[in-house]
Order: sequence, then C-alpha cells, then structure tokens
Amino acid sequence: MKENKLANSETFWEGKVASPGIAIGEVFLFNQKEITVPRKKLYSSEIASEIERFQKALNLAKKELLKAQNSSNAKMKKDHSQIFETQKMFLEDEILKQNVIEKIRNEKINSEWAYQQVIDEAIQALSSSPNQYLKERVFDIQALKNRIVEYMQGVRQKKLDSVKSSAVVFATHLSPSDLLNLRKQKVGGLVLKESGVTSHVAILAKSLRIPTVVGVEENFHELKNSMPVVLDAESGRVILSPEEETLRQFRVRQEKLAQEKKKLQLLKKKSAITRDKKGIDLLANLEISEEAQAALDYGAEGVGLFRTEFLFGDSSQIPSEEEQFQAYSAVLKKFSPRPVIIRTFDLGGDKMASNYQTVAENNPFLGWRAIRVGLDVPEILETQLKALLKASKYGNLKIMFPFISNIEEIRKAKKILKQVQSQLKNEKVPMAAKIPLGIMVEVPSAALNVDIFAKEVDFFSLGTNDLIQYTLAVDRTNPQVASWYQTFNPAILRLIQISVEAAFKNKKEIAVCGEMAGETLALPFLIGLGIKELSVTPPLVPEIKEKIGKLSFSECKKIAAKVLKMDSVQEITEYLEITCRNLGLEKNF
Amino acid sequence: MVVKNKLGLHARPASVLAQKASKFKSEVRLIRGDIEINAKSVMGVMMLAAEPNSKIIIKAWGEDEEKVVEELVKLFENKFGEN
Repeated sequence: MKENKLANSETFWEGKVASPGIAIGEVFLFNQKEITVPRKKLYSSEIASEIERFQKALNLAKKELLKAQNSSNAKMKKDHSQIFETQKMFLEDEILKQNVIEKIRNEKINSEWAYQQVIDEAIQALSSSPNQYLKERVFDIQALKNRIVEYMQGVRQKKLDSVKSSAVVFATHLSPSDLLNLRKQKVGGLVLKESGVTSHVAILAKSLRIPTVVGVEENFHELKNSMPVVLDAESGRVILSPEEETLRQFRVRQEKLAQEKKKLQLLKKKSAITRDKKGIDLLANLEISEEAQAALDYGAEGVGLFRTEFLFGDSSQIPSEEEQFQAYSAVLKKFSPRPVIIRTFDLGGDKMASNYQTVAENNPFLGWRAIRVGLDVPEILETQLKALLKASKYGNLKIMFPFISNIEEIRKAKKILKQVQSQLKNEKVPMAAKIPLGIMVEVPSAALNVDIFAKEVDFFSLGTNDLIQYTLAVDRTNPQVASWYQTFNPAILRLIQISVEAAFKNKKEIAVCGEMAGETLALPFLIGLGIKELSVTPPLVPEIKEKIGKLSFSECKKIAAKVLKMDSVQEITEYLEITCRNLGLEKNF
Repeated sequence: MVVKNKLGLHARPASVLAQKASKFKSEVRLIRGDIEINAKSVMGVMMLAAEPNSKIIIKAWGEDEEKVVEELVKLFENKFGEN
C-alpha cells in the first residue's frame, strides 16, 4: 500500500540541510538493505581462516581508503585528508583488532558479528553523550563499520558505478570515499538517513557543493529506483513523485540558481567600480566563521564585520580562548591578505553571559551592552583580545569595538589591549606588527564625535541599524513602532554626513556595515558622500557590485547634496526611487 | 586530567593520544566515570565520549609507567596540539 502511495502521489520527507541547492532527478537507492550482520557459530577448525578473512577485509578497506585519498589530494584541502586520516586510524587500531580476534577465538563466532559487537560498544557509549559533536561522530564510526562488514561479506557494492548523472542518491550512510566516487558520476544530490550536519560526509558534501539533506528518518525500503524526485536542499525537503506543477516550479528555481551561479562566477573577479572609475570596496558581514568560503565565492573583498557574539551559540558560556582563536584564525587565513574586521562581543539584551548579569533591565538596548560589558568584566574582553592577537599573524586583522558613546571607553579598551599585547609579547607569542583599531558608529553621540575619536582610532564603521534606532528613539524589534523606523529620516542622513566628513577631514577610513549598505535606494547617497567601503551580507555582494557599476560618482555627489536639503522621509524616498529607476537600479526588498 | 580542547576527545585528539600511548611498553588505561579503556586504542579513547571539561584518570603500570603518564599529561595540557 505504502509503495503505491509513494509512487502515485506527491510525498514529502523532511530532513536537515547539510549542503544547499536543488536537485531534480531519479531516485538511486544505495545500500538499500540495512546491513544485516549474520551470526554464525564456527567450528574450531574454521577459526584461523576466519581471522584471516577479517584481516583481509581490513586491508582491503585500507587500500580503498588510500586510493580515494590520493585521488582527492590534488583538489581538496586539509580537512578532507583529516577525515581520511581518522578513518585510517580506526582501521589501524591494533587493540580494536585484537579485541575482535579474541572474540572470534573465544566465542567461536564469525568475524562480522565479533566486529559489530566490539564497535557497537563504542557507538553506544558515544550516542549517550550529551555533547552533540561527539554524538554525531557515531555516524562516522557506523559508516566505517558497515564498510568493513561489507568487505567481509564480499558484497561491497559495485553499484555506485552505475549511478546516473543528476540522480538523487538515497543512502542510510555513505563513506567519504563513496562520496568522492559519486562526485565523479556527477550525482545531483544526496539524501542520507543516518548523518548529522557536522558529520564528515556532510562537511565533504558541502565543500563539493552537492545538495544534501541528512537525518531523513523515513523508510527507504519504500523507495523504488528511478522514481522521480525533487531534492529541495534549500528548505530540507525531499519530494517524491512530484506533480508536474511542483517539477515546473523547481525547474524554474534550479535554473535561477544556475544563472545566479553563472552571474556570480562572472562578477567574482570584477571589482565594484562606478562608471566614472571610482572603486568601492565591497566587503561581507559574517556571523559564523564557516560563512567565509561562501563570502569569498560571492566575491567579497574582505570582511567588514565579523559578529563574534554568534560564537556563543545557544550557550551563555563565554567561548574559550581556544575556540575563539580557531574561529578568528580560520576567517583570517581564508581571506588573507584581504582585510578582516573583527568586532568584539556585542552582548546585551537577550544575548548575555548570564553569570555576569546582575540587574534585570527594563531597556536592554539602553543598558549594559557591548563595550560596557567588556570594560566592566575585563576578563571577557581580555580573553577575546588574546585570541584575536594570537590569530593576527594569519592574516590582515583589524579590531573594532562596538557601541562606543564616549572617548573614555575607547581609551580604556585600548589600555586593556595594550596590556594583553605586552603580556603576549613577553610570552614571545608571534603577532601581526600593526593591527588597526576602529569603532562602530552606532550611537548618535559617537556620530557627532567622530572628529574627537579620530585621535584615538584608525577607522570607523557606521552601524546604521542601531544609529537609526537610537537617533529616532524607535525599538527596531517592536512591530508597533515599525513605521517610525525611518532609514531616510533627514536626521539620519545628516548624522552620516557629519561622521563621514569628520572622518575624511582627519584622514581616517569610514565604512558602512549596517543594512543601509545593502539598500539600493541608499547607494547613490552613500557613494555620493565619498564612502569607499561597504559591507553587506554575503549573498548581496554580487548584486551591489552590479548596481555600483551603473552609478557615477559625480552624479551621486549631486544626488547626496540634493537629498541633504530635503525636509521629509517621504520627499527623500520618492526622489531616490525615481532617481534609482532612471539609473536602472532595481529596488531590492 | 581535564579535557580542555573545545570539541572534547573526538577522533583526532583520540588518535593522537592512542598513538602516543602505543609508543610505550606499559599498560595504559583511561578511566572516566565507570568506563575504563585501553589508551592505546583510538576506538577505546573515543568510547570515553569525553566532552570538554570532563575529568579523566590516567592509570599505567609497567617499566616506563612514569614516563608514559608524564607524556599523556603533557598532551592533555596542550590540548592535543589543537592550535
């Protein structure tokens, strides 16, 4: 009955996106049988040959692993070879091997069974761990186990070679080398039952850009080979027997993704430059270090804002120096020699190191936030600065302090930085010779004091979201006052102008890293003021590049001057809308 | 010993540890809670499922027992070279 249902009517399965994209094709079932491990009693005379069979299987697995590793070396980077290293370690684990051999001998049992018993112990121990990362390692071990068992049974499927290109492969588990094979066949996508988003195979799928959904806990036995399927690895859905209309929609979406990819490819190497040849640096805002590669792929010329508070995840624990160091150095390495601006923790409101907060706040946005926390609890800032300085040798680091409202805060923060710096110097820790320091301009008092602050810092970055919220006294998270949140309020434009002019007069760089930098209507104004650096969310990079190419700096200057003389949000918005339309800029969102 | 590296004793630190322990003649055991394993086995070390900040006891006996404990303590201290 169920099979009929799957084959005859559109059915949705849900999972987690491990690698984004869309695939449309036919089902290819791999390992469709759960590996069943037989249990056989052995005669004493069979034991020696059974042990030999086990060792042969191990060697075979090792050999294939090495083969796959060699074929991947050229193109793939270190993290993949580490995946292989780990698998090799398991295959070479002498104790594990001895345990299995002992079991075969003592219990007179076949090798698959003995092997499974030994490994299952480890799997059980790991899967009861409360730690998500360790828990997901179970999938890696399970994949390895199944692989060895397959070798022992001599049923190592050749089937992978028969995968059609663009097929969507369904498997309970896959090994990294299976995946590399599949890539050669140009599979369309992967659906895995037993994998987590951080499993080896998921990491590999992501960097190979094979659309992949994992953790699909459905009965794969119900599937039939060659069934039509859509893999929507944007929302984590598998659509079996899709209807014509569904297919059509996803073809359109797939085509669009392909075009975007092509366009990106074209724009990647180009820089953002106006018609009259003024170059603009287009950087990316990052929330987690793993976005770095995507940002580079989108053609970002650096990182304009790395928001470190996401390192906290769901936890209220301060991330360790080591953890921070890993994240910072990863991004710096990826982008080197391009600049990476890392902002110290912007904690406050709901995102708080809870052990430090003592007063319940009525207005968290006007409360104990960002640099205020850092200065009051220096160990938080010190640990972060230590991690930053240690990472600095890996690239072009700039450090930025958030939520500055007076010069004392800058001086205190710099003092802490100096202390940490000289401490590390004494410990002979290698660091970058010069690390530029900057501040966020997101509080009106900072915008009005840029000329004063210029004596203390090397650069500024306008955080427009908060600047608007604080200047106009509008809580941007409160929908009831949303209409008071006005990007084009003359007060905002003036504060930006004052900041930009003060920065330039003091020969300091000033960038825009708030949402305004990605807003089409604001582009002519910001560029007209002379801003040379914009930082936006990675996927917007190509689009903004393209738009900048349609502008001319001299025209933008006139537009900015004109806008600054206008009275109301409405007048400004209408004018900018008409202007942008005439310039051929489509309005985004 | 306290596990200090951020992801706990996952595969890589586990294999570093097992490799190091294997270089010595002594019998080496790691204990966490009620699990006791042979430190020379990657699979064994992983079975400890030792997350960050968990506590582990090192036990060794044999001709080079002191040396092996010393070396393993060093590994824990420098977070298994995860840097």
